[in-house]
This record gives sequence, structure tokens and C-alpha cells, in this order.
Amino acid sequence: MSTLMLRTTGITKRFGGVTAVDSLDLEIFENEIVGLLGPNGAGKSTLFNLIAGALPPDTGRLEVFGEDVTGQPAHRMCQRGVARTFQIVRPLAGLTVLENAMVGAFAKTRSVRHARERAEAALDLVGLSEMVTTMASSLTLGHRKRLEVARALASQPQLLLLDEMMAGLNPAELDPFIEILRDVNRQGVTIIVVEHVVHAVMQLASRIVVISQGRKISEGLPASVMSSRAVVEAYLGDDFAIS
Amino acid sequence: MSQQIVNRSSGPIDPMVRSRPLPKHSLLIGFGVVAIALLAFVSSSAPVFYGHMIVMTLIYAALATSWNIIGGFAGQLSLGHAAFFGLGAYTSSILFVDFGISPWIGLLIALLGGATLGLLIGIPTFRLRGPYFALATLALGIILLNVAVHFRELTGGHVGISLPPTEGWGTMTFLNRWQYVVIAGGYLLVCLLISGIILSNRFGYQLAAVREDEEAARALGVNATRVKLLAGTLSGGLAAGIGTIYAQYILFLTPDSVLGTAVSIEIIVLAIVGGSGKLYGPLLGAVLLIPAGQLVLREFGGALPGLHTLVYGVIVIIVILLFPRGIWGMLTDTAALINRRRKHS
Repeated sequence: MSTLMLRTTGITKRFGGVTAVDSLDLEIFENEIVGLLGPNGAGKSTLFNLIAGALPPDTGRLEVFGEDVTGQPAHRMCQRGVARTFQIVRPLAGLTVLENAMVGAFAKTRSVRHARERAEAALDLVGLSEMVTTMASSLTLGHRKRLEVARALASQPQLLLLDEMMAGLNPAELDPFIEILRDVNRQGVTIIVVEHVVHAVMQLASRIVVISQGRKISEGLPASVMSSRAVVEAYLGDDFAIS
Repeated sequence: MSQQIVNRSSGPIDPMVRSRPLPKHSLLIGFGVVAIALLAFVSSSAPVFYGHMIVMTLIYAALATSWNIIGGFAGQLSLGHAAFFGLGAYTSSILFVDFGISPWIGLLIALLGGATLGLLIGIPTFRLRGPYFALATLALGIILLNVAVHFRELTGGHVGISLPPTEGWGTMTFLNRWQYVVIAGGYLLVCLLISGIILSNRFGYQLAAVREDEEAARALGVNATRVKLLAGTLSGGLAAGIGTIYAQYILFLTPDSVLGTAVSIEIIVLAIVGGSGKLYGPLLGAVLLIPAGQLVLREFGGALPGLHTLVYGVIVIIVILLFPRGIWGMLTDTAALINRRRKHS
């Protein structure tokens, strides 16, 4: 059994009357690539925000690398080695590509020289090393998504949360992107991907967790999960489930 | 053979490694000291009008540079920066007039007072996202103005405070102007140096990240509340310090001259026209606008009072329309463009 990277126990988040994440238990192990699937409004992004510290949970417990980190703010989570990207990319528009990545690197170092080295390494990994002096505001969507990943990687995370990184990419951009993520994983980074592009997740993930209405409804190897009755029902309604 | 060459070029005998680079910011210090010396020399023999113009430009440049730390680097608009300026001016003046405390000590107390005020205004507002810091600073400026008008025993109310003209370095009071050029210029240099150090370190990158997108900055490990508080504290302290120097130069304080809304607006105008968020932007804004304002005031002040504000307004509109990143931003953008063209051709 490999090391436990992340564990949520009964984690719950309500917005007014809506329970976005409903006492969810999740375990992520070292070096996994876990795909998090679910229909629109299933609570995937809320779960991400809870793990990344952007939102505090109402109840439940969050453990990272064996330590209780429930209620820790976002910047602390990043410093601890949990990096995230945003569903709608958020480049620091007025800064260059290199400066964007350096901000991420500064999560773990004070030294400008170290930050630059780490930022350059991360940009190299995602194939943006030719664009270091470009302003982030003038990048294409595909490049912005790569920058988002590079910035997170520059903070030297052990756990990387990717929120819908492949949505909106054209097929020519998609395959290199999957390759990049495989590379990152090979370098020892555990990855959780939230994704709508199902076939990308099938290619990438070693395990899949499906949530619907804030609850985990299925979990397992990609092929078996996608054919499970509960998942088909959640996506298409009971009429389509083959009994 | 080729291996040997590689080893030699990267080894300790490499002349590039041996000749150590100049310490950071030494160019700024060297250039600044020479410029201050020149300006001091010029102001000692120039007509009063031009000497006054130099001192006022230096004072406003320092003030706008201090605003730039919170307003430009951190992107948190301070609409009432005169509050810090006025606090510093009144603090040292009251200490000097009522208690005989040297303005130099008053300057230090003003720095601490301004920094504390910057911290206090930031604590409740920097946790929130939205225009709350801007609103709070606007209110702060108005409140302090009313405090200065109301507490007559301490501040003299509308009549103001007159400072004793006892000349000497100990009292920071001089009949000639070159000493003020040295003091205000030196203070401006310190403000620029602090700003330069901020920009070239992690703190500067983190402030820029907060300015661009606070939520993204937090996700990248930036303690946004803390860096904003630190920037607000530094900015408030530095603005208060230059208030003391202004008071010792003019030797006369009224609520409107140091705490007025016009002062707050002028600070923002200088920074934005010059280029907010850029190290030399506010300085450039002051160098262009303060002398222009003084000239208009001298030429038309009697015949057409208020023309000087009108000219200001027109300049601001033109700059914002043509160069939204300020004049300094426009210059650096153009330089970058020319550089890129040259590389491509």
C-alpha cells in the first residue's frame, strides 16, 4: 500500500439550502492520477475549493500528507504542497509568463534566483520556455492553460489539483497536454483531475471517482466505473440504465 | 579538448565570475546623490520661484512614490493619502511648537504614527474583497481634516500652526532652499530605494500577484492579507515622514494645505499620470506636473483663479486616454517594442 496523500472524512459544504458536497469520503494515494467525474453541479469544483483551502468546510475533516489541515487558508495549503489550477484560467495578466511562474515558486523560497530557476524548469516542462518574456494577457487559451499548470508546478507541489484543464482545448492541443500531465506524474506528483472531457480522463487516470449531488456514487478503474449502473443513471437518467 | 574549454569557461578563473557585479540599486543611489547635489547647487543661486519649484517637486515626488507602494504595487487604491501626509505634518509641528521636540525626532514619530495608521486602516479592510480599503481611506482623509479643524487648542483650527523660524540643522529650519533640497531629495531617494528593494524581491512579486488577481495569488501561496498590510504600513509611514519635511519647509500648516481632499487627489494624479506601479512613474509624474502647475499658477493665478486645476484635469484626461499605463509605462512599452523590432530584423 502506498502512502496516503489526501483524505477527506465526511466533508460537507452547504450554500444556503443546497448541499454542494455531502459528507464525502475520499482517499488519494501517492503517485496516482485520479479522475473526478460528475454531471454539472455535482459538486466537483466545490470539493476542489475545499481541498485547496479556498473554502472552509462546514463539517468534516481534511488531512494532507497525514496532517489535519481542516480550515487552513489557500496560501497555507499551497505552501504545504497542494497546488491547484482554476476552471476558468486566471493568469496574472499584467505580468510576464516568467513572472507568473515565479510567483508560484515563491511559495517555497525567498530567493529570487531560486524562484527564477524553478519557474524556468516548470515552464520548460509545459513547453512555454520560448515565451518567458511574453505578457500573460497576450497568450492563447491553450497557452494560458499551460501557464496555469506551470505556475502550480513551480510551487513544487506533491499534490496537484487540475480543474477542467482540458475543456476548451482543440484535439491538436489536447494530446500534448495529456503527455505533459503524464510527465509531471512520472516526476512524482500526485494528480487529481476534474474533467468533462471523458475520453481524456479515461486515457490519463489510473482511478476514477464519480460524484453526483455532492455524494460519491462510484469509484474504481476507469473501464469498470464508466459502465456502472449508478454512473449511467447519474449522467443520463434511469431510463438509459440497462438492467 | 572541447571538454577542457567548457570547464575553463565555467570555472573560477572565468573573468565574468571574478569581476563581481555592482550591488543592486547602486546606480540609483549614485545617480540620486549626484542629482540632489546638482539641484541643491542650482537652488542656492536660482530665483526664489525656481528654488521653490524644485523643493515642491521633490516633496510631491516622495509623497506620490510612497502612495505607489500601496496604490501601485499592491493595487489598493488609497483615496485619502493626505491623511498620512497631514498626520506627519501635524505630529511633528505640534511636538515642536508645544513641547520643543526637534523636528528630526518628530519625523521619526511621524513615520511610526503614519505606519500605525496604515496598519490600523488595513486590518479591517484588507480581509475583505471590494472597494472597502478605498472607501475607508477616503473617510479617513475627511475625518482627519475635520479633527484638525475642530480641535483648535491643539491644531489652531482653520487658523493653522505657524512654526518658529529658528534657523539651523537641529530645528530643520533654513532661510536658504538648498538644505531643503538635500533633505527632501534624500527622503525621496530613500522612498525610491525602499520601492526598488520591494520590487526586486519576493515581496514585490507577491504584491503584483495580489494586484492582478487576489484569488489566484492566494492559490499560489501568497498571504494576500499580510502583504497588503505590510505595503499599507510602509506607504503610510513614508507619506507621514514627508509631511514633517513639508511642514518644516513651509513653516505654516492649515488643515486644507496638508489634509485637504485636493492633496489626496494630487497624489493620485501624479502617480497615475507618471505610471502607477512603476518604480519611477510617480517621480516622473511629479517632475512633469508640479512645475507645470506652478507655472500656470504664477502666470494666470491672479487673472484666472482655478485655471491650474483645469489644466491638471485636462492633462489627466489626455494621459489616461492616450497612455493608460502612464507616461513611464508608455516609455517602457515603446522601448520594449523597438527592442523586439530590432531583434526580428
